[in-house]
Amino acid sequence: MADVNIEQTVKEILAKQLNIDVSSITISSRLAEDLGLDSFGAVEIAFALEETFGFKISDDAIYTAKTVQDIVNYIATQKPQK
Amino acid sequence: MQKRRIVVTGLGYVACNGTGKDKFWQANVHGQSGLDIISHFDTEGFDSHVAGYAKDFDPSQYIAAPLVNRIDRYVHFGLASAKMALEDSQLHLADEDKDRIGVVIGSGLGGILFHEEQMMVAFDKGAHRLNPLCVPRITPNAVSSHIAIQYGLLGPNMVISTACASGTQAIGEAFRKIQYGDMDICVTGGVEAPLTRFTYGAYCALRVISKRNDPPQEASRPFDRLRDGFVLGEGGGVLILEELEHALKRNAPIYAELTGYAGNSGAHHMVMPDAQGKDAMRVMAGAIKDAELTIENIDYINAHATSTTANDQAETRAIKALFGQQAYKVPVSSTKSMIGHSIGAAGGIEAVVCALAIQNQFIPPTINYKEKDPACDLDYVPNQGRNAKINNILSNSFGFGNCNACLIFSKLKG
Repeated sequence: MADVNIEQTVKEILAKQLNIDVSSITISSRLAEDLGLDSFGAVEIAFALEETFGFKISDDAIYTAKTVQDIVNYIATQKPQK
Repeated sequence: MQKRRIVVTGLGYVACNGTGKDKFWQANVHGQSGLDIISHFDTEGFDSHVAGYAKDFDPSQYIAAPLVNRIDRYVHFGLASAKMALEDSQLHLADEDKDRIGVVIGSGLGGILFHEEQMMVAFDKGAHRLNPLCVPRITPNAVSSHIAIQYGLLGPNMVISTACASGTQAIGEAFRKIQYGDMDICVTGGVEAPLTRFTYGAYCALRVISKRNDPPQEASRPFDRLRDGFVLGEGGGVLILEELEHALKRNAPIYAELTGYAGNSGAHHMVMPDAQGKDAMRVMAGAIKDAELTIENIDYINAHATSTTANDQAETRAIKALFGQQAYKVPVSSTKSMIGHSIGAAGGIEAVVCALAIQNQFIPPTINYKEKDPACDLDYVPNQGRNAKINNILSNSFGFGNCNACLIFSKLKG
């Protein structure tokens, strides 16, 4: 089960990059179809996630993620344990 | 081969004394300066504090999110000016063959603002933390590409970088490409956003920038005896150039005909013009010849006139060498007296001035002209614009590195 804080942070990063309201993003929103994320947007999101969570996001992860849920799951599993 | 004729059918403009054709023309007619003390970054330690910052420009009025946050300021100027120019031209792009529409834009510096910001990141956090869009944001041709992407324009696409002559040279090269049939329509002009700490500092270090900070509106004073350098400005000036028959067929608004262009080099020095202005003389003569005119046909010269001691004297000498006694009869004025020198944008903005001068049959003034310099003794249209019969205008741009370009704008013969 993914952390609620991760979900909120991911949504906020997406909202900021895409210039849309955070409330319009749900956990099941599709990145390309629903949110209009293109390849530039994807690398920008990866960059912002790295800045926020402090670890490297793989190229694979960013290009295969289809939904907000995919990103949240990736962060939750890859995030270094304290 | 019969050369095709080209007309100006749309204008778009961003600068410190007004964004949009109408606001800008009123500022020109009334000789309003847009220069002010810099407040958008810290100028402590500099001797100069004045610039022509486009403070009323809001990019989000012209560019949709999220694109607006993904491009550098110089591209904001390009997209905004292109949008205004295309709307002004009343072109219905959906009905046009987009393979025949190109984009040729001048920019001396490209995305230098983002470059500077990211250099700070590289030093603070390391180059492995650079923004992923560094390459597409900084590259100098981002501006022509973004205009093409925005409107689906599939014709020739390029950015021309010849310092202070970039905008004029871009328009000239676009003119040639339409003349020779490479395209029928071109979105062309110049853009620049040099008001960053690094770039402003770099021009100050070269000792070419005015230190006359008080009042800032009087810092740019081309041809005046007390001029002490240019004022850095920013903005964009874009024209829609169109093959005459194409424009007539769709009943387009026509501001002027572009009839001549020439470019050359002084091959002399990276910064200093030839004191006798020989290269400037040759390039002006080349443009007049290209337009199949003679010096007697030129009714107004929109001068390069940066407000540096060297440029204004060399340009005056070159005009006198080419025009002889006629030099004293031709009005010469400086757009830069009102908005400063916007490097690659200057030629684009000055082309907009020329098109409007022909449409309105009015010559804008050189403002801040107070004391006569014995070395500059032409009619500089001091402080007050005037109505005049204008059939042909010579527009000069002389760039650092001795890159020179001139255009001739003419009233369309009925």
